[in-house]
Amino acid sequence: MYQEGDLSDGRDMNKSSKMPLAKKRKAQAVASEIDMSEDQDELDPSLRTLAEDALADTIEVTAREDTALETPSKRGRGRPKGARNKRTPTPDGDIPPEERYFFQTRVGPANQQPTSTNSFSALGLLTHDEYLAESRKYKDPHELEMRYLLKLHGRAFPQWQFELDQDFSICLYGWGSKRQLVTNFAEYLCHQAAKKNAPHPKIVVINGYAHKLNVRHVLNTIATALHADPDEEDPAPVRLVGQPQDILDTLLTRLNNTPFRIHLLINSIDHVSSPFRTTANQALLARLSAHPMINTLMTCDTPTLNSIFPSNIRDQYSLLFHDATTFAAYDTETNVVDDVNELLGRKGRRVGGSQGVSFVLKSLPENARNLYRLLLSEILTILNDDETGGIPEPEDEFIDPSLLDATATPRKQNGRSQAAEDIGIEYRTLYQKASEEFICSSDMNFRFLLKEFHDHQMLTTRKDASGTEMLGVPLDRGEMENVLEELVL
Amino acid sequence: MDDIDLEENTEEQFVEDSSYQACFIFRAGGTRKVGKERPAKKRRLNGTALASQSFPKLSQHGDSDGLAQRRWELFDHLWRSHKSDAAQDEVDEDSLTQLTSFLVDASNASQRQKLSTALLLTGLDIANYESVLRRFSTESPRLGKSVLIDLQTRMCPNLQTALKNLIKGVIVGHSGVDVYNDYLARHKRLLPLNFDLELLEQFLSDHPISQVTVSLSDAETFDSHVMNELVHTLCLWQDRIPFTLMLGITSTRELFEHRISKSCLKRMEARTFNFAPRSHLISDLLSGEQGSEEPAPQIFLDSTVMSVLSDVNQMHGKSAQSLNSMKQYLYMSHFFANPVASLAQTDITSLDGEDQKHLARAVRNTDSFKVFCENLLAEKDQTSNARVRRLLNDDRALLQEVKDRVQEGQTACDASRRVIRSFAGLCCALLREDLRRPNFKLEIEIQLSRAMYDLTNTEAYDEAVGRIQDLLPTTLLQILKGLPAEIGSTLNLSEVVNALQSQLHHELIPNGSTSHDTSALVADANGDGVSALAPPTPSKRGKTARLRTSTSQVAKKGTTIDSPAKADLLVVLKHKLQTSSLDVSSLLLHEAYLLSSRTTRFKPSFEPHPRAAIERALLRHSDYLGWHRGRENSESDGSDTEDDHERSTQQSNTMPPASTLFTLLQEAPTIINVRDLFDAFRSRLEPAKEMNGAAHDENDEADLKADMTQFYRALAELKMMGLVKSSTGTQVKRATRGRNAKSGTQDIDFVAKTSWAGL
Repeated sequence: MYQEGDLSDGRDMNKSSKMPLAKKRKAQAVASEIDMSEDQDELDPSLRTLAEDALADTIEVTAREDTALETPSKRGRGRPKGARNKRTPTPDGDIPPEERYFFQTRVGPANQQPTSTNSFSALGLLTHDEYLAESRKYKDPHELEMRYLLKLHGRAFPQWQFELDQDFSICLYGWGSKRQLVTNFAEYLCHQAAKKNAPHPKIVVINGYAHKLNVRHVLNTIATALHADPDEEDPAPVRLVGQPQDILDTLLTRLNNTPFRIHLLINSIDHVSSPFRTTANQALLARLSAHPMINTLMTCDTPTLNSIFPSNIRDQYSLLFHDATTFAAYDTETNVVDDVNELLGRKGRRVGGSQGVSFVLKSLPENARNLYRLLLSEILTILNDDETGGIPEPEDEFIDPSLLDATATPRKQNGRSQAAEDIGIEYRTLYQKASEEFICSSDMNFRFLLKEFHDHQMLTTRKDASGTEMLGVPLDRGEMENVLEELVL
Repeated sequence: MDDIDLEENTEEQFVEDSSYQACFIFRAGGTRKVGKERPAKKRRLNGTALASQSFPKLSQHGDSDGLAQRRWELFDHLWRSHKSDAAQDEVDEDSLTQLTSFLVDASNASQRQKLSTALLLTGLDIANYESVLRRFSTESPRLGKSVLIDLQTRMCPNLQTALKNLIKGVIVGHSGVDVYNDYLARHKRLLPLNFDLELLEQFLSDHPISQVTVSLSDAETFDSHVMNELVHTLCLWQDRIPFTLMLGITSTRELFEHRISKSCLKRMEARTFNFAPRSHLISDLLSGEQGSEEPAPQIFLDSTVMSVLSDVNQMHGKSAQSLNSMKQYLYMSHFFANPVASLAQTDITSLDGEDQKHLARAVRNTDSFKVFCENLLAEKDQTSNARVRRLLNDDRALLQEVKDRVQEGQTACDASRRVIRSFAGLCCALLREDLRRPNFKLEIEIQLSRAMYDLTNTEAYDEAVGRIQDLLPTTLLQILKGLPAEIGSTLNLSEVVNALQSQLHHELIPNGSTSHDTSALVADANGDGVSALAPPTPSKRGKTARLRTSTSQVAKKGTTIDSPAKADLLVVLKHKLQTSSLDVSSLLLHEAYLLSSRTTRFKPSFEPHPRAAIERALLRHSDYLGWHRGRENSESDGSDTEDDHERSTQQSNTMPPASTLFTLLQEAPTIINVRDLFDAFRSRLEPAKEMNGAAHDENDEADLKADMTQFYRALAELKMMGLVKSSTGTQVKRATRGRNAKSGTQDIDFVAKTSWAGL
């Protein structure tokens, strides 16, 4: 039984708290009487209603206090569960500038709901063949306009030529492939030379997006152009030896004695696969471009091009930047299907899957085929070991195969195929096994064979957590088994 | 533009064979010889590859070759005379002399225990150190047979490579690459390693080289371990090879000492040389067209151009070479496509009739000519009207008028700029702000250049006047006497200085001493000059004390004594500035000799904004692709129907796939479900399909593949740009609130965007 003072506790937040204090006290007194006596008919009805309310409040408070006594701090500090989802969403418009960054870089949708679980791969991802077939059918509605834009940029060719003649280098940036524009400029240079009855200009085109590009190749090509007769169709290649710095020194010495300018036209110098993204190679190229007999025009595609040209490099180039937005598709610069697969976290079938690998292997020598067979068999062995590590084989008579199917979800199955591509064998182990089988006699020979695989994108290399070099194959298990079967048979 | 014949059907000619080659020598399609049976006949060629240059013909190719050639020759002549190569290599001469002496002493010293090391404090400007090296190499005759080799960080990844580059640098620097290769080949049997310093020792024994100076231009960025080893090795070999070390330091000596080990420090006998960055770099660079030695500068930089150059220098820390390049580009832009630029220095009488006609037409199209004619017509008298009519009808009369006006304008500009430059020099001397603000002089020049109508209506003038009034007369006299003679003569200060000096002489030394003694004593009393550092002689001591007392009395009296002289100075300055005020843009044909950023947008050529350009192209593609159709419509003969126009407009509004996807990404959060993105992308394609009359069926497999192809292409292009990337596991977990990991029923794909739309 509670006293009067207990009822006037400030924690009471229901409608009884709105009563006048005197009436409230009276009602509470009646309530205590109700509690004590069973005779309810003698009371005024309105007073009785109030008394019942007050009694209910009293019971509620009592219950709360009892609970508090029994479980003092079960919820703990902080926000209660689910409170986060109850917040009102941030409105899209009228966000102050200082908050806009946080809104635009929010993790989830604006209404704070988790993102959907719709699957893109359920639609069926495109293969190379499908993509190529569909892209051939596609007709760009802006084709005429893009062509006109290209022609408009062509009007700047005399200006570019003048700037190059004044020992500036040019960098073209903006959206769209600029490869065709660069080719047109090269044509223009040739056309101008022919018009003046001057020798054919020496133009070296470098495709920064080409995977096989390296600095030695570039320097040797420039050396070839330097020594070739201007009108020679197929000049004999010149091969300079040594480190790139040494080759460059030799080249610069020879450039001092030539009367002909060499035009370097570099496509996509900032492409992700371009060797000229590194500071060392950039310094090398800048040193070459600083020579008065070298005119350099390059194209950049990414918005971060400023980061690859530090101020000292930029001074060496004497770079001028021109916006050359063309809207042309990056057909050559991108490998669309592989890039998207990589973006989605899937390994691309770079050589056209198992068929492509088989095709390449047919053109390789016997020991290369043997080495690839060994590599595949080792990886499949590891895969088998992994799979049977904690899970019994379906052939096990004590296990119902249907149970296994139920436990192996599609996610896990997919994870297995992913794992097949991620599994690798240690470089040293493979070399030992290859030596034991007399596939290769030396480390150099072994590396030569691996390089062949790597060039054909049949081999992946990565380093594990301990820094050990691991060799893998960019195929899933089924494809590996197919290739291995073909090799063995 | 008939020079550029870009046939639309020629663009696929080179795609087939060269686009996937890494590097190749380009052969033009027109000159490609397919299936030739015998070698081509040798053509007679016009000289060498460096053929004579010219500008393109302007006025829709109405210009003659002569006018284009004249512009080219004028540009070539002016740029050769105005370019500031000397300013680029300007270094502190005293420090350079000390450095040379230090290295001479080091080479002469025998039995050195430590490695002589010069620490060059060059500041943040990398080009400053390069200037020092260039100047140092020109001073090398004083050092006898010495070789300077500059090693940079990338040349020294380890000790072996550093030594190899050192040996190579010395031999190549002395005798050339071929000698180096031969030398290596000759000694390969005995000394197989090309980083063995014994190679260098033997080379030095055969060649008279007295000193090898090794320069590490960016010493602070060197790997400290490699540097320690290098110093240790050089120290060990210095009894056989006379090494000296030169280190470029951008911060301070103390910070650098903390970076390297104590053992390394012990092996060096270091001395610091301060090559502080040049404070008046831009001012010096701009002096090419404003220098007093030039007989008649023909080209002037607008205040807007100077302001941009100043901003670029301050904000981006441009080197002298960059600024010089910008200046060159301004000249190039001015002459390349400006038909009236040839009036800056052309003898019009030598032009033939056709050229005069083209030039007169260009002149009549200029804004300044229109304003000039309007002003004449506003006078509303017969003479002016007749003059305007003659200028419009008679080419020869117009060109003669223009020639006179251009010469007058150039002279007025030159005089005004000289006054501005001199007054800026006076302000620097008076206010002493240049110590705190390196570009103070240029700031004042820009401020005065902007105040076209009245140079006295500027903050710089007010500050200078206030400073003159506050200064003690003796101090003011010292400042005025310390000014360069050019400033004094331009601002007519010589009489004022004499008056001030005579006033001081009469007031301070009533008993009469010579003028020479007075000025010397005044200098001593103010504590200025070198003589103040020396202890005063007994006879001088008495005079100095007496003068100090007099000076303090003068200071207490305020402006009673010096007011007439100061007033004279202020009157002279005000008059000079007011008479030199000139609104250059109001002069007739100022377009011929004034370089303005209003007409030449050169800053984007040096400071590009690629992200803004790409985002603009993606978000507002109609800026690039839409206007062409509008142009076609306007050029057509009006036979286009409304439907054609509407269709073309709608087609222009069709977004390229990458633009569509980028727009969607801008609206999305950081982590995006690819399926949702594709669905949204597909919904954006529907209107375009409906417009083209294609039936759209969501369940159609072919339709799905076609949409997916565009989606793939757009996604791959955005990935190449770095605008999207793969999502990390943590990001996905946060985005899905862990549902993806919990459900495990579907393989959900996410991508992450890397850029945000901005404010």
